[in-house]
Amino acid sequence: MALLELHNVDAFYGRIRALRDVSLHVNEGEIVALIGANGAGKTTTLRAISGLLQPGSGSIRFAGEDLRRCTPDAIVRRGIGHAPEGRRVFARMSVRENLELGAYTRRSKADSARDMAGVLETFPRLRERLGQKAGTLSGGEQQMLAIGRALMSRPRLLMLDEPSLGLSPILVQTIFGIIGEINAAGTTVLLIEQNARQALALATRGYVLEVGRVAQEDTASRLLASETVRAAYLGA
Amino acid sequence: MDVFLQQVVNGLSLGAIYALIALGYTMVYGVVELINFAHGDVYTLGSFFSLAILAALGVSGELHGAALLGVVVVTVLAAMLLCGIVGVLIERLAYRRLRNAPRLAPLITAIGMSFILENVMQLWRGPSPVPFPPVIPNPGVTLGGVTVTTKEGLAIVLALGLMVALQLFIANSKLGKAMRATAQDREAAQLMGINVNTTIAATFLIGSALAGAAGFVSGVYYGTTWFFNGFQAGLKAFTAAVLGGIGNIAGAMLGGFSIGLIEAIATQYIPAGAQWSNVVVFSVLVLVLIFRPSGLLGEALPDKV
Repeated sequence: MALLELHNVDAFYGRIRALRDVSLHVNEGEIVALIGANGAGKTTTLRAISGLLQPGSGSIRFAGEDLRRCTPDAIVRRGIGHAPEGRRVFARMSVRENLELGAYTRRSKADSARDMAGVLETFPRLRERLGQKAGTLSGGEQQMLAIGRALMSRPRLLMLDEPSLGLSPILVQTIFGIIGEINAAGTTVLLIEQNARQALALATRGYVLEVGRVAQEDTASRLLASETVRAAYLGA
Repeated sequence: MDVFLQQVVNGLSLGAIYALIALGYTMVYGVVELINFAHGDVYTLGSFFSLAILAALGVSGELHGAALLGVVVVTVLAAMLLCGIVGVLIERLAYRRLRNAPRLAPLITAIGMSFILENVMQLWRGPSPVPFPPVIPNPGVTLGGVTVTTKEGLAIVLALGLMVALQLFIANSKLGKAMRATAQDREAAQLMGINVNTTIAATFLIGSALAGAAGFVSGVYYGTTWFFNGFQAGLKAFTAAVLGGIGNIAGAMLGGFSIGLIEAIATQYIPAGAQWSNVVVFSVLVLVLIFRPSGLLGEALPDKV
């Protein structure tokens, strides 16, 4: 059974229909990439899963439970971590406080402390900046903080919205390497990327969104080889 | 010089009351970007609750020693709790469903809430000023020609104590961190698993409780209270919050004490100062809005939307 399953999800911003009949699933242990142009509905899909946007119709199920009536905080408690578009770190709080807030739903302080040590091992740059205000970090460091913060809730499913946006090519390599490690350590990943080639190289499967609907769905390697995907998203 | 220092003491005790009220304005603005115009009336309610509690305790005159301390602690805590509950109810009943409405809607609702509270208080305790029992003995300490009465000392010590407690709570507790996170970015806070409804309710609880404490302090300080007290005190505390930088907690404290000092000193040194002190205070508001709209400690933040 799929860990996450969206069935015919519609979503609206006011009267504008942002998603039409989106159906997708993510199996336990997979990395699934959502690719598509700006405005195709990738971010909206993640927002609907996180409960930030109430879908108009359709069903969203996580680990067999219906998420549709859940508030965003209840969805986090069920095991979905979301590093949102634009990083959204708490700029006027320290790096340490940002990470602590990531562990807000956790009961045990000892567990959170161990996870924080793990996150700092993954992102040594953050260790150097623990006492610094998050707003003073560089873009790459903020991205690391956003991912680290989402990991602090120890999610079963980690959703990443454009983790490579605005980063140098070397840092993009690093971040993608880390996403692979996080997945190898047992976290399922749903990934949105502009950088479709890199995302598909890492992913198990992928979905191509076009104007709010799923246009294509396949294994990552087949999408990488597909003529239409190559022409539209891989610049080749 | 003695006269000046005496006015500083007066200003600080007056400012302690403004600062306690200003904290509620600024905390609520910080998390929901609403000027809660009913807040001044919650402060008045605090003085009426204090009166009711003192009556229930059977206190009608001066107290000393342990009895005084006990009565003050019980009355302040009870007034804080009751005002806190009123604040939470106001948010739940009036503001929550308007959270995503255009900003004018909750603002007008807040003014409506203010009228409702004023009228309820007028029905409850009548349209005339109500005397406060003279619980606190008058004499205080005189230091080099400057007298600090027990009431003034109480106002300043209580306000400072509550402010330190508030600062520690906001900086270190889990809920305090959740409040700051919600104030900075509500959606991102939700993605941390923070229940924003609970967090916003807690903000109203704490802000209103501080107004309740201020209500008690002002009752013993002035020896009287009135259903319409909160209108002017609320406006002055709001001025204090804007002066300090709305949304900034340290700013509200600084602004409160500044407004108290400005008012006391204007009263002393401007001819017919008692009549002019309000003009001076609200001129400060106008000047701040013109020259430093982000306030003394506020950061110039870009609008969120």
